[in-house]
Amino acid sequence: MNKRQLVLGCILVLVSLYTGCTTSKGASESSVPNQRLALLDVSAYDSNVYVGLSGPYSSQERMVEMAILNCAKNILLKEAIALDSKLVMQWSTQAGLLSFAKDAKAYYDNTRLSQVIDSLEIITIEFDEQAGAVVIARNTAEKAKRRPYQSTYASDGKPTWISTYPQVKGYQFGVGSSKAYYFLNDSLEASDFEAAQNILDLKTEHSFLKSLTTTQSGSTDSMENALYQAQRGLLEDFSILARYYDQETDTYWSLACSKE
Amino acid sequence: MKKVLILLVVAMVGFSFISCASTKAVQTPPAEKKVVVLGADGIPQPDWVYKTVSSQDMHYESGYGKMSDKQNSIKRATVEAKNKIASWISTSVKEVVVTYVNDAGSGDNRQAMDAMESISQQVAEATLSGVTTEEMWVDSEGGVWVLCSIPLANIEKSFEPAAEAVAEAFVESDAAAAANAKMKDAFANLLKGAN
Repeated sequence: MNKRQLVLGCILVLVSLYTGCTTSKGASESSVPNQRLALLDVSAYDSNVYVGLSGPYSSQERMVEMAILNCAKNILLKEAIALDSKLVMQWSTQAGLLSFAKDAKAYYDNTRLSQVIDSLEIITIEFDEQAGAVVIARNTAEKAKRRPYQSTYASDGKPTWISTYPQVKGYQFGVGSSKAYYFLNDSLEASDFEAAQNILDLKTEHSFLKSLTTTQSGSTDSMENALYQAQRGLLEDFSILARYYDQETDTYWSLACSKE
Repeated sequence: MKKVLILLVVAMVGFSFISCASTKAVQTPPAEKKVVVLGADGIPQPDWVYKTVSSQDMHYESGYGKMSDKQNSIKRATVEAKNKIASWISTSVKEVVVTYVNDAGSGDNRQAMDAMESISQQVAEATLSGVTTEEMWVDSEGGVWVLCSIPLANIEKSFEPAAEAVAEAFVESDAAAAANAKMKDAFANLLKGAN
């Protein structure tokens, strides 16, 4: 082997190393969050199959335990989720919107958690750096049914439900989003919660509204309005049907549905 | 001569046709072009954004919201529509009008300003049940328009407590009956005095 061949060989090795590195970097940045969400996608299964994720913990045992617990929690949420939200808003003709504050809560009955865990039949367990353990399990106490909606995608690759609500008779849909938190499970919980609240906003069971409108006329004309809203609702057959991560805006999206 | 005659007849028929055609064209006003406003995703603006929707068994109100994200825009739009419904059916509307004169002197000393100012406050409150967002439209700037509905049957229900309170207030007690009789006597005496 002469000196020229040696130099050429070295260049080839360096080029191939560089190409390999850049390719793997590109793939990880663009598609990993959605690949992670694909792990949580149970749309191919019947409606009695649930997914639970733990987030990162120090041991695999702890992660699986937490994922099973979350799986059971999703079953109880499906049975009934009570929502409560309050909103205060103030605006004036001169200054525009002065304040917009909201406070929302969700409740579910967790007294049967251990009973639900007993009825779980584990289908798969996978581990991921950020998602922790991802457990897919079947609720043997529930009849298998088809899911009411399957995601369709627009030409830009985004699910169509982000811009247009699905229309399925007997069901109501809500879309929620959240900025990415440090832990994936926190981001998903926040966007799932917003999707549930969105159902409540679109179909209000009970709401109380009180407004105070102050009108001043004379040398200066102005109007100020203060509005308070409290609303409550109970969603039944509630489930998260799909999720999506939008890299452009670093936002997680959830599609929720419940019985009308 | 015959040729000239034929040409004249043809020309006259031609003129009459043209004149008829132009008269007709003048009589028919040009069709009004409807301006189509396109929203996000190229969806045309629905009529309910600027027109009142009504039906015999439902009440409709629209609302608009433009906030930092779509969810909050929906929240604001729906709460505004619900506020309109609440104001419409409000069982408790209090209006307090305070009018005062702002007189800053007279003659040369009088300041050039509006002398009268009025402030009015309106409080509206209502409990709503079964408000549904029927339609939604997002404009090209990301503002969300919603059309909310409430069944009139639900509104009647919300009136029930108020109606009961009114009925209670009008139940004639012994004291009210005595006061009423006294008032009638007083009026009768007053009228006698006037005559």
